[in-house]
Amino acid sequence: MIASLANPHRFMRVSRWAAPILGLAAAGLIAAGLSLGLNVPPDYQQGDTVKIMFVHVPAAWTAMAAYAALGVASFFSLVFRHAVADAAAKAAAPLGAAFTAAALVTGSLWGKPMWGAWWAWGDSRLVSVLVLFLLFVGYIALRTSIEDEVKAARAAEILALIGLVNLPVIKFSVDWWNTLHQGESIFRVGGPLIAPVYLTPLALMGAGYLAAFGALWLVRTRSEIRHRRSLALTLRTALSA
Amino acid sequence: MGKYAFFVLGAYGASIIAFAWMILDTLIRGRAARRTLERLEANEPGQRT
Repeated sequence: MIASLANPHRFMRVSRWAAPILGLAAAGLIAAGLSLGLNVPPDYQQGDTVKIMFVHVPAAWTAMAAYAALGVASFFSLVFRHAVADAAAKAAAPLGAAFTAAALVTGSLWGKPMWGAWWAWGDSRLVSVLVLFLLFVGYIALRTSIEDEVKAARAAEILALIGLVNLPVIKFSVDWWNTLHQGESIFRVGGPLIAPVYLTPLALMGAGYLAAFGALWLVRTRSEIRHRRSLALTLRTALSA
Repeated sequence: MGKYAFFVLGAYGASIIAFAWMILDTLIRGRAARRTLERLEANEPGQRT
């Protein structure tokens, strides 16, 4: 599947219908998730702030998924020199940064009324997600600051691969260290700890966010491929002139 | 939402801003890339991506 999509023409053909389908799925899932999530009863401990969960947790999941996508695409670009993989990696970074920023801001807005603090430097979950944001920003900065496109891509891809170490740190930070952030309550051995009335809208929002990322990622990758094609045509015209 | 309205609405507002930026930036860049390539390809018959 990945090998077949390494062909830019095939990728453009497949993504042409896949992107709108994912976009429509995202809109439907998020609309359903919001209609349920905004009408849940207040939590007995957290009151109405529990509603922040439906935008905070999906943003954090999607940020991690975006980084995994960035890492896998960087691996295929670095090892197999797939041009589409490099374009996909470049396209994933700004989206990942935006989802991570959303997770950090919504988490801070949830933390203040529940913990009494906007931020805690000693909290490993918070700091590891901030590191994730900095990895996305670092990737973008490397790609834009080095003039040689190939060297920029290689440097950024190496950073992306090294940064993959941060994903399990984020996931298990609440188990490995004492944190203000609550422990794992969804993807855990023994099943989710939260009530179905909250779990259903959360699952819908999570699926919607992931579909939205998928749709936007495909569109941005298509744009990057077109941009590279334009550069190649411009160069060819200049050389033949 | 009572005393938590600022935090809940703030979180949803921040999410809307993030999505709006992602969608607009993606569409604007996409349109620019498509138009530039179409313009260049107009001078290169038989070369479409």
